[in-house]
Amino acid sequence: MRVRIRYFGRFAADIGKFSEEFEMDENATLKDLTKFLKEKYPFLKEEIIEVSINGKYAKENDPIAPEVSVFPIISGG
Amino acid sequence: MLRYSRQAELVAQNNLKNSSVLVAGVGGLGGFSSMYLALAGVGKIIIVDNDVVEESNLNRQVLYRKNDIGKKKVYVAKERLKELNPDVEIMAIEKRIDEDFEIPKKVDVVVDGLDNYESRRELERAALQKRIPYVFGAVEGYMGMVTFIDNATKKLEDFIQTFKFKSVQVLAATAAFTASIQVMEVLKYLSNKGDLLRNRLLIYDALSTNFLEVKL
Repeated sequence: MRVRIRYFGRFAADIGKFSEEFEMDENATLKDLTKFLKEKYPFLKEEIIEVSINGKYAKENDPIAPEVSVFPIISGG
Repeated sequence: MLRYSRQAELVAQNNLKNSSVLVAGVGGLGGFSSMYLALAGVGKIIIVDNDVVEESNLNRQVLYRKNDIGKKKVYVAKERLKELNPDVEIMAIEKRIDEDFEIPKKVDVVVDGLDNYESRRELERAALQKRIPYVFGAVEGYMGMVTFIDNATKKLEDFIQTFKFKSVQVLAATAAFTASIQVMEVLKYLSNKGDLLRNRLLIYDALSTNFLEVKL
C-alpha cells in the first residue's frame, strides 16, 4: 500500500518535509509505522510519535491507511 | 453598552458578564487568553501564576514590558488587564499549580496557559473534580493545539503519553492564535453557541499552514 505521511510541528521541521510517501505492507499497523519512522530518522527514537489515521487518534495496533498524519505532543505555554 | 455593540449579536453578553473564568499561567498563552477574555467582557477573570517576568519572556508575553522584569507576573497582568477593560474584575493568585491546587468557588471555565504536563494534569484534576470544563492549549515553535475537556470527554491521559521533550522556542503569533482558539471555546461555551472542541484535538501548524483535526 502506498502511504502518504504528513508531518506536523517539530517533526516536519527536523525531517525537512511536510509529507512524503512510502510503500508499506497492506497489514501494517501503527506500531510498524512508528518503528519504520524511527529507523529511517534515528532522532525520532527518543520521541513519542502521535498519529492520526482517517482523522482519528490512533493506537498501537490500529491498521494504517493511505494517508496518515504524524505529530508531536507539545508542552509550551 | 456601546463598548460591546460590535459583538452583541455574536455572544450572550450578559452570560459573559456574569461568568468567572480562571486562567492558569499568564505567560505566552495565558497572557493572550486573559487579554481576549477581558476585551470580551467576561465579568471576572482569575489569573494564577507564580513566576516573575524575565527578559526572555518579552518576545511573546504580551502583557509585560521591559520595566516589569523581576516583578511577579500576576500583579503586573492584573494592572494591564484592568487598563484594557476596567469593567472586568481581575483576581490575582500568586501560586504554582500543583497537587494541592483547588479551583476557587464559582468558576465557570478553566483555561490552560501552563508550560508543563505535571501542572496541566493537576489543573485538569482540580477542574473536573468540581465538574468545571478545562480548555487545554499548548504551543511550540510554529504549532499550537487545543481541545475542550469536561467530565464526559476524553482526558489528557487519553492522548498524552509519557512526555520528555521540552522546547523553549515559541513565537508570540503562535501563542496568540492558540489562545484565540481557546478563548473562542470559552465564549461559545458561556454563550451556549456553536460546536465545541469536545473529543477533538485541533492542531494548527503555521509552518505548513495546515489545520489537523484529530478525533479523540
